[in-house]
This record gives sequence, structure tokens and C-alpha cells, in this order.
Amino acid sequence: MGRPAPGAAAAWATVLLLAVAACSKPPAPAPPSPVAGAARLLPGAGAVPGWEPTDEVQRFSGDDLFLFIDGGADLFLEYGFREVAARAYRGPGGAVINAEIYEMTDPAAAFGVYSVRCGDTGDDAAVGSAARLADYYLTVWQDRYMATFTGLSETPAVRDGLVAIGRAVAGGIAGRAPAPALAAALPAAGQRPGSVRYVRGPVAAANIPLGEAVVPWQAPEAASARYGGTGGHAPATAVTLFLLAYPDAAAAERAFRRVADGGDTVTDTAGILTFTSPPKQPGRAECRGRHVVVAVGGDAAGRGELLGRVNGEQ
Amino acid sequence: MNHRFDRRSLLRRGLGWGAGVLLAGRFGQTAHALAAGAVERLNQSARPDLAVVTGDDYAAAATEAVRLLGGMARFVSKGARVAILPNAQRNNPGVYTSPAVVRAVVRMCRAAGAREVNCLTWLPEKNWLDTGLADAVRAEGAKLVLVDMKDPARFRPVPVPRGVALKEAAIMDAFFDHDVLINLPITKDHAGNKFTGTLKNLMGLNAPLNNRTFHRADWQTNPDSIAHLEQCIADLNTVITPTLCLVDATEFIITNGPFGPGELLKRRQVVAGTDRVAIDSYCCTLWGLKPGDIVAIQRAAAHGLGEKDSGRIRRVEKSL
Repeated sequence: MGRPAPGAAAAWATVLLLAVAACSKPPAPAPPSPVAGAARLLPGAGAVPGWEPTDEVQRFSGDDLFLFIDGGADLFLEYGFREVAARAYRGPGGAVINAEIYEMTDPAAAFGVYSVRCGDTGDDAAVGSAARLADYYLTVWQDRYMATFTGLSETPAVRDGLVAIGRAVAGGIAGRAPAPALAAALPAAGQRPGSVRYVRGPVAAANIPLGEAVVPWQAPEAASARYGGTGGHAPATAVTLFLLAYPDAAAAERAFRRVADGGDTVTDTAGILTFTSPPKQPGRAECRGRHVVVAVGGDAAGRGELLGRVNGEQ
Repeated sequence: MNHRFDRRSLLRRGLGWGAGVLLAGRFGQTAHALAAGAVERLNQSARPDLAVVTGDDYAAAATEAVRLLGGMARFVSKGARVAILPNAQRNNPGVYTSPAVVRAVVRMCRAAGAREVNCLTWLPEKNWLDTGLADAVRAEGAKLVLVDMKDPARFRPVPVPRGVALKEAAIMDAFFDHDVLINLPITKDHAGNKFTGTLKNLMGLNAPLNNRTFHRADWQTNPDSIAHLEQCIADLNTVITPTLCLVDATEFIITNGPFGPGELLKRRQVVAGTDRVAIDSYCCTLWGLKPGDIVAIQRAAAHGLGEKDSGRIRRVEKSL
């Protein structure tokens, strides 16, 4: 298996460093604020017309998240979790909505867990920085908060209530941080709406489309999106593009070499690695500075074209 | 490996592995007696391994599924003390065992002559009230036994002699006061391992602090440590053997598991049987997963806990 020529590697690194200058180092959690607390965001009595709290606020922080969502805490802890506050609300006809507000360590962590939990279900909603409304639930991201609002029944009144409570919560959040730079660095042209994911570990990676393909890369930070089927700049068949970030170029190079040496891979003279990912999808990867770009699925032309476009757009 | 599934040898091995529980309480002794009798009857009548019943009346589906297996009297003898283990994780749709299924099971147990039926849990009472499961249990004359999860005295150390990763469990003390265990999970998505069903539900009998040891220190960065969790689940199942499993596959989430909210799939099925590997191997296919991709199923099969080959599973299906 060949390695990239030194000159080519340096060129790639230069291009990518310039291109993703906005991509910061793996984010360090912000220090806890003494006034932090998801509980303060939960609407009290009379705050949302037609919907009243039915019980006390439940709060769990740190590893105690297991007590609240035993079996589901891993995903949040992997991203960086600070606290959850939960409360139920009763509305028209006795309908019930569960509200849960997760305060994460930083906005990127909140965006990440939001991106994974939204999946492909539902429609965009005008709540917070980003929101998705599905049949009976609403998922919202704003700053370092990810919130879910769940109706225990599916009626128009409940859907209206989800949005009303969601807006009341989002309105109490002062910050409005942008999406993580790594996610923003993914090519926009041909990107399927709502397909961007941001992950920080294997639990999240295992819960996104074709994420198994990048688990072996053990990147501390990654973003992905799907391309294809929408015409324009999209590949003819669907391709998932991953942008993996490491602390430095040496770490990226080590990860690249480890995967390349792991078997069932071929590296050509230009330093492009081809492989078959765990779900038997063809993949193609290149190491560029402290990043690795991986394209999975679709056909070879689509993968190659998309990798090339990462450079062009960046 | 192409061994023919041999119920008698499996039973013998299973009893050997369950020695920790057999020694620990009378639950195992009674389960032994019940199972031995069950094998004899199975040889005579070739009953199905799995009963799958589809319908809009979930209580009726549960009742019919048990009838297809030979009736509740096959599993619950007169005077037995029965423990039931539903999932009450959260009251979000598709996340907890249907109260209708639980009511039907309690009713069948009492009709079979059970002396008492107890629903065991270390979850807070709020979960049971919010899901309607507390009302369901009590309405049928069963008791909700709430165990303080933070009190170590309420859990009994149990060696796991065949454990590959888990060497000691901490089983709820109240469990050992029963003759029969009926496992009542809901099948659904799980963030860590994609799937949860009969095997994973038994973590509901194990102390939460012990369950947390299923996570290695490097679980956030090492993919092998995810598999470690699955191995622990399979290991735990070597020391707890449910007498009967009924899986709620009526309405369940297939994303954002295990607590939701997530995409709901309404298959309207109740799945019953005694072979956890066979049941979970079937249930994961309900939303397109493959048993070979679910590590806990593979590890449980490697322990000899059941049959993962669908070609060797006798399944009967019925629509109401």
C-alpha cells in the first residue's frame, strides 16, 4: 500500500488548512456558569396559554443521568452533558406533553446530540436555532441546550402545544451559537436537507447513517452529510461524506495509517485509501493535515467527485 | 458450527450455568422442576418455540400467544409466586410495555392458580404511575414491589461462573422469593446496541450500580468497549432464566431508543416463548435489523442460551 507523495500531501494540507481555518480545535467545554441550569427554562404556571405544569421539575446532573434515562445516557455523556430538567404539562382535553431540556457542556455538543436525535423524521419548525417537528414530538437546539417535547397523543392541539412550549423555552435562552465549524465546512451544494450530523464518539457514530464506517477511525470529532438524489451538484447515487478532525496532523496521519494497515484496504500512489466499511459499503478516504475526509456509499465516480469538491469548495 | 439444537442438552447445560441462582434461592429449584416437565410435554406435542400473534386488541394477542405455547398453566403451577418484569422506562409512546399486555399476563397467572404475582422494579414509582402500569398491575390484583436502588442490602451478590466480562451480578433480593419469572420487555431501538428485547430487559433485575460496571472506563473512545457492554448482558442472562417471555411488539420506537421520543413502528404483535435468543432474533427483524449484527444476541447464542438460526426455530403466527 502506497502513501501520498510528500509534495501532494503538503499541498492537500495547505488547501485544507486554509479552507477549514474556521474549524477550531476539538472544542473544550466551557466552564460551568453559576447561574446555569436547564430548570430555569421550563415554563411555569400561566407562561404558556392552555398548558399548565402538572408536577415538580425533575433534575439530574452528571452521571446521575443514568437514573433518568438508564440505557440512554451514554449518548449524552459522550458529547459532554451537564444537566437535564424535565416537567410534564397538561393542556386541552387533558392532553399531556413531556418537556425535557438537556444542558450540554458547549453549543457544539448540544448541536451534535440534536443532529443525531432528529434523524430523518419530521419537518423543520421555526423554534430556536433549529427544530424538527415529527408526528408527536418536537426537538429543538439552541446554544448549549437540546430540548425534546413529547406529546403522549397525536392531535392538532398537541402539535400546537409542542411548538408553543418549545418557543417559550427557546425564548429564555440568551445565546445563539452557530453550528460547529466542522459541520459548516461540509459542502453545501447537493447536500440533502436535514442530513448533517456532528459526532464525538462511537456511540453517536453508531447511530447515524453509515456511521459504522468511521468508528474505526476513532476521531474525537466528526461531521457528516448525505449527498445525492437531489440533482444539481449532487452525485448520481447517494454518498455520505464524513469530515474527521484530529488534534493535529500527526494524529490524523496515525489514524489513517492504522486504518490503512487494518486489512481489506488499498492505498494508491496519490494517497487515496479505498476500503469496504462494516455495512459492506465502498469507501474512499484521504488524509489532509489534521483532517481525514471519507466518502462512503454510492458509486466510485460519485465518491471521487464529492471528495474533489470538498477541496474545490474549501 | 452446524449443531442441531438439542433441547435436552441445552436444558442440562442451562441448569449447570444457573447453579448460582439454584443455590441462592428456591426460585431456581422450582424453575428446574417446571422446565423439566415442560421438556417432556414438548417432546410429545412439538409445541412452537415462538408464538407471534397480531391484532389490535393487545390483551387478546397476549392471551392467544400464551395459549399457542400450551397455556399459562404450563409455566405457572398452582400456588406459585410469580415475578413479572415489564419495562417502565418512560411514558413516551412506544417506550414501555403495554399495560394491556401486562394486565393479560397477570390475569392468566391468577387463573392458573398463582398464589401471588409481584411486579419487581428498582425504578421510581413515578414511572409506573405515569405509564399506567401501576394501575394495570394493581387492577388485576398484583403487587408493585418498589426496591430502593440505592440500598445495597436490597440486592444479592450472585457469581457469574460462565461470565466472560461480568463476574458478579447484584440481583434484586426480592427476586429470590419467587418461583416463576415472566420477562415482559418491549422491543425497541437502543442507542448503544441498536436493539433491546428479552436479553437486555433482565438488567431490570440487576442493581443499577452493577449495571454501570457494564461500561468500561474507555467506552467513549474504544469500540471494543461497546461490545463489552453486550457481553455483560449475555453474561447476566446465564444466571437468570425466565420461565416465560412475552415481548410487546405492538407499538415501539425504532429511533432514539431506549427512552424516545422517536419514530414509532406499529406492528401490533405480541411474541411469546422461552428461548431468549430465538425471540430477540425474531424481534430485531421487525424493523430490518439482522440478528448477526446484534452483539448481545450473538454472545448469548455463544453461551448456548438459545437458537439464533431462524430455520431451526418453530414459529407459529396468528392474526386475530
